[in-house]
Amino acid sequence: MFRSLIVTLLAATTSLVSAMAQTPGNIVTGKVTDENGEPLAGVNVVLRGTLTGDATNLDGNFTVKLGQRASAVLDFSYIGFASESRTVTSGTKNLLVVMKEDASLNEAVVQGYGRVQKKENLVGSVYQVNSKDLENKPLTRVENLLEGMVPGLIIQPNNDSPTSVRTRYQVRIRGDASLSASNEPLWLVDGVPIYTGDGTNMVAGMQYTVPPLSMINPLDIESITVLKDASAVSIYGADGSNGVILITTKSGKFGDSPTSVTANLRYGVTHIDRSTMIRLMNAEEYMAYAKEAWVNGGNDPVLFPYQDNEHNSYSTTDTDWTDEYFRLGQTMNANVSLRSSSKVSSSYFSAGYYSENSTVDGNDQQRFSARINNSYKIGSRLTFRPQISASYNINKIFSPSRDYYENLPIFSPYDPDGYTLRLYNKVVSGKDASGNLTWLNRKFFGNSISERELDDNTQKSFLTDGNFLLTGVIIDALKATVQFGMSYTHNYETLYDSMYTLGGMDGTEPRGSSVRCSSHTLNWNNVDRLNYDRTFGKHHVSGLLGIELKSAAYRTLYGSGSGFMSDKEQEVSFSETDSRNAQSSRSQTRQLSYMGQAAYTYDGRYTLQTNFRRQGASSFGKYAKWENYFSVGGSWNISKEAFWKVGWLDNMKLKFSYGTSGNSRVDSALMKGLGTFSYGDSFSYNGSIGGVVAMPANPGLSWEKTYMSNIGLDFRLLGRFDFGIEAYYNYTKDLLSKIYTSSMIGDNRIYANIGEMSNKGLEFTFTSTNIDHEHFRWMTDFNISHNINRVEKLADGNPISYSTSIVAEGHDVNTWYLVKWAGVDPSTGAPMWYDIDGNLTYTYSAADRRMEKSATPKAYGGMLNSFQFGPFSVSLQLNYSIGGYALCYLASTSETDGYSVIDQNESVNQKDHWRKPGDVSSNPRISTVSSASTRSSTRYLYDKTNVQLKNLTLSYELPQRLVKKIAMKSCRASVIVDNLYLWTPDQDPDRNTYKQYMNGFPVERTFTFSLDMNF
Amino acid sequence: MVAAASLSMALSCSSFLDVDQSGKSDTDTYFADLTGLRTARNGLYRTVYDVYDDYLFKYAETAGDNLQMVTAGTGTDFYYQYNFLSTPSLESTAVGFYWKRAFQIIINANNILHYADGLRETYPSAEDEVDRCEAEAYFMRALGHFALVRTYAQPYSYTPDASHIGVPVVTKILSTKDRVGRSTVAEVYSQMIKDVEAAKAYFSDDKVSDPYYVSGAACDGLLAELYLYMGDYAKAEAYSALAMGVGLTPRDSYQAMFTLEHPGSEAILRLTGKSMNVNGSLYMFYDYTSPKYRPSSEFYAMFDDSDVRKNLLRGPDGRLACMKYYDLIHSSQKDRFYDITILRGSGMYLDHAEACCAQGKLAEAAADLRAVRARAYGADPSAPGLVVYYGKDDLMSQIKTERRKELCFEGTRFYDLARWGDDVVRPSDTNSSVKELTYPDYRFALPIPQTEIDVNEAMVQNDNY
Repeated sequence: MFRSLIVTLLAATTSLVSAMAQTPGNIVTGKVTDENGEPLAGVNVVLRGTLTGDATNLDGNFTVKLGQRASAVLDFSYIGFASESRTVTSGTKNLLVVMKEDASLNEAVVQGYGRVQKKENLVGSVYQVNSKDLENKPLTRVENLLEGMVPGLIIQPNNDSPTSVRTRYQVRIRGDASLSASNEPLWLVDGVPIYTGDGTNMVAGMQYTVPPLSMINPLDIESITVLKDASAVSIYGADGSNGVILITTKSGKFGDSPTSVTANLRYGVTHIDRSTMIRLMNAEEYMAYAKEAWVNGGNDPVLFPYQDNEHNSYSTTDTDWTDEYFRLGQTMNANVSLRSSSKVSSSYFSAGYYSENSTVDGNDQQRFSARINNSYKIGSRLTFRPQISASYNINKIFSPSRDYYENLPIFSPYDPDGYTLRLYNKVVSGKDASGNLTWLNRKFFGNSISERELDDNTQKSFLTDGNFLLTGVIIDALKATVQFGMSYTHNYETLYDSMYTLGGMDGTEPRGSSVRCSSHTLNWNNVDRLNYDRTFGKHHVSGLLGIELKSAAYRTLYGSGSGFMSDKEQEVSFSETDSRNAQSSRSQTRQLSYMGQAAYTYDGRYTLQTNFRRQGASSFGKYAKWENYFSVGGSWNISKEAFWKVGWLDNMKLKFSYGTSGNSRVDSALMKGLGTFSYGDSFSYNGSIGGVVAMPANPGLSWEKTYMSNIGLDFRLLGRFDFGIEAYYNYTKDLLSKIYTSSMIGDNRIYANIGEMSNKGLEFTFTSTNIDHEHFRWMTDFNISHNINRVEKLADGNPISYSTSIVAEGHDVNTWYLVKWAGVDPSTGAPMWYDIDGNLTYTYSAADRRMEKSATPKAYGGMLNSFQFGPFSVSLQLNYSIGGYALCYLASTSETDGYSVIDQNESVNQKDHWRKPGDVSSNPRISTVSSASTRSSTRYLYDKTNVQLKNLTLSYELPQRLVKKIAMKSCRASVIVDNLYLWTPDQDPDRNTYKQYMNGFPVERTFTFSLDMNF
Repeated sequence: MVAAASLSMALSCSSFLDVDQSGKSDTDTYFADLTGLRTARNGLYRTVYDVYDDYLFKYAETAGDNLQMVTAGTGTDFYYQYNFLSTPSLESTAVGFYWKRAFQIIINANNILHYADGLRETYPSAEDEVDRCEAEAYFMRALGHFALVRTYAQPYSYTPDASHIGVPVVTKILSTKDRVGRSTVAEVYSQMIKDVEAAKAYFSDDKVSDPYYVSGAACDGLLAELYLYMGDYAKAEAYSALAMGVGLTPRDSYQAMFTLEHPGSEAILRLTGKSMNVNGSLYMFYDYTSPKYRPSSEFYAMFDDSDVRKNLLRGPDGRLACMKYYDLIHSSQKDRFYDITILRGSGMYLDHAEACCAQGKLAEAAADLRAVRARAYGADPSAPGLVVYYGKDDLMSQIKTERRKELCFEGTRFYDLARWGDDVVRPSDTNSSVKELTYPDYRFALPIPQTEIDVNEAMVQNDNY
């Protein structure tokens, strides 16, 4: 029915166009050919500004009537070819137009397992970002490159607290698909799955996580392809339901081209965008506030702890602690790559060095990387491709945690001598019998500057990837490939608490304490496959048959000790014997899969594609070790139909897909379905180790399965505006969810495949060449995505509630579960909430929690505008997110209504608090005793809407005559600004809003000068 | 060639997908060798220790009449039991956890029993070891049911033939779909007797070889207790007589049984807390420096000054405190431990006295009582004034009081009261909201936890909950 509707619509449109073409007037005729002079049939020729036009016949000829015009512009468009335009005058005859193939449509899209497809033949939802789009992005880590560029993909910090400067990011493709398993996509580099941490990207065995994706040099990347729908991911089977991200590295091509050398040099300066920094009270404001809270708390004002003494001059100290913790950062990059090729070999070599000194003092990253991607032809039928890369990473870590905003402005980082880092503050502790003040030296734990200066927290990581492909041509269209890939990471972490910091002391006794952690991960896979690809006349057939063996394993080792002779020796072997402690762990999972794909295209118009994968995984028990996944997809290139005569709307394609994918990243012991025993010290008896039932046998658990449907429409308007619309509906069944069971089974909570969840959404992309003039070009890329997540079914329909969030049927999986804040009672300054029935209450009760807004944004995306005038080019990347709410960590920890004021500074928002009856204020009466007002409520919920000017690049291509003089082929100089500006609708120059509370640390803005040279 | 190699590897070795995880093992693999059985045996003893330590010993006292709560508040351990406020929805307190944990004794025992046959077959030379573990598992399964039936059901004598509702009897590994309902109290006892007899069959004598493991004497002792609870006094008399062979610990090493690393000669079955590297929860519960409950002053006043047992009711700071779980030898937290006494000679003497008295054998009963008192007071057992009684009822009442004093804080008091059909009469200054609980009362049994009712259609709630 849908199809007939389209046909009717098209028929109506075409007849309209032909009706208009009947208008009499001057005639222009001509012929369109391709670059080889072959006539092109079916090219749309449109008279600009009208809907009038013609399509070329089999000989490539066309006739257009100009009507009353003396001259006009004709636009020529044809699928697979770059659009052309010509200015014609009335009476022009035999105009010859040569059309060139359009690179953007013939762009090869990587799909994994040796399959590369032309963009125009895609049936699924696959989005590829190429090196050109990535070249001016920050080089810190790979996942951030994709921010705002890929529809349907969200990248955000794992949490908004300042616990780690190396924030783990979560990447979500089309929403969350699981409750118990990981929601992170699968990452592959040249077909080899890489270790990106556990289900929440935490690196096993390390005390601090350095994101593994920061160890890859982004300049080695040729393209990043994001696979989203069933036709693209079902071939990845049980690793596909969260989407798949394929990184393809640069390599050479066979052919006789001279050796070329590319070099990139960058230097950048990074500073904190002060407008995004939490605003805190200064010393004077703090003192007034603290004294008020102290007295309101029923304390004797005479005993206020912060009174001047010989050790602390509180009244004259005003420290801006953010100055102590943040600095001017810098980034440096030097990268050289070399390509050479002959008819029988090609090589790509690159070496890079990247260093970054973060604005958070004490955090440095260094990356040394090298890569060799070579290809060799052996005889006429064999090709061998070794790809080897290595990267050595040194990360120095220091997390100021909350200290940068919590330390009191009346404390100085140094002792009165001005240089010794302060360990104590002298405070009033009470009164003695005769009424004299008594004093106490209180440990100054917040002064972590001493930890930054004296402690050690370093991670050295070595990542090496090796990938070897041997391809043999059996018959022309049939190739056999054996691939063996491995990715090995070794991390070594050294942590030392100096004996001169509070952390390294036992009481007042200097001890020193040391931790050494080591982990290595080894992922390998072996793919043996047959690829078939052949065109017979109008028929194009391709196929794939393969088998894949895959293993992922890690081992960790931990040793600690304390009690050292001096800080000079920090190795555990030199600590006191009794203090030493060691631990180790290991994990391994394996998979074995068989896969197949068949695709058929008729006349470039109809494509049908099916995928199949049968997968076994060690994570799953004998009851469900094997699972099958499939997908079917198709596309219809409507604009290639003979009846298609719509001049202004060309290249229209409709595509659909449906299929399944799964999630293998679950607790493997759980999925075995067998009962398990745990053994260890905690079950020992009489000094001997013991074991008890850990989990009852729970046979019949099966894999979570996501049923994915996708439809999409791609079209091009007037030869220059490309639109892509996709709608999807992903339904995950058999979600693992814990349910209660009888205590007689062994545990009264067991897993069951009970849950169901759906994600549906729309993605829209728009690419246009707004102005395409010889000297000036302006292009826009825009995307917007919208996803609705819904928990469809839970065990017995019972919601699962956590302290501040809830998973409930019919709601988004990231729904807040909070007591509703009702503000401050103007008569008493008491905090108020709404109870479960909506009545005002003065008592906080967790029983009054209600389902509140969700954390999921309503829409998000990005826009890239690029301009080119002569040798100059400018590009501006803008990212935005609309809707969704955050329970801001910084807000809840810095607005304590005086409760914690003796120990920490507060947000400037707190200045607006209740003082006397009748005051209408946003914060209640402050006091050092009550804390109910600060318990989790909607008070700390903020709208996440924001717009970011993410990247601005200005480039200048040096003139050829100049470049040649210095023996270069080309040279480009650029200035890059990252994180230029952040806008939130609630921003306010005097208060802290979402703009300041967004993340644990303020935004880093970087100015980089970059030089790209080709020799 | 590589392809062919890996293909054949994949096809021939279906074991490619069999991967072991560390720290955990599937149950079949775990019990494939004797090491698994040995560690499972340790794990079973440990589970029993934990259940007694966390729940049984605390419940039997807080619901009884010997204690006074120190800080009243719903957050204090066993607040709801002390005040008889238990409801089915109190899942995260004793109501839910005691139920769940006691079943873990039974489940772990059933796992050992399930795999014993296979191991005997595989390791014929280790037959004796497997038999022994099997006997211990039977014994522990009985202890698990014993804990449950005394806690979640009315006592045996509640109905004349004990046909009232008991607790589920679980004698095999259940699958996740299995649901077991409640057997009658008589059926539960008959299963426990069967289990202990099966255990006893392994042991060739009625002696204790190592008090930290199940022995022939321990089987006798548990049978004596079971028959006493059932009111089968002849059998109780016979089995307690066998277990009494251990005698009584001499007066001068009495305290050492609790506070020093010394099991005492009367030990029949104790569970050791040694080398656990953690302080058990009874330590925290009674720790004299900040106890949750203290012995009531009225209970303390019941003891004569010469009574050696009185020394265990005051802390080193002079305040009232139960000192039965306080290690005075080891000062470091890591080494500090205490034992859980399950059966000891004194208890057997009192079982025997009670069984005899109930059958009218008053002289025999008085002789047992005399032995216990002589040791306590440091008196000559033949001293005429040591036991004076006026008829059966008076003697029985004295035996009951002696039992209360001897076995206080050792997990018997509330269960004894229920067994006797006696009322719980709290000290006059009690801070519990319930001063007196008159037998019979629905509150002599805890409610079945609500989730068990919700998920187990075969489960029936106790009356009035």
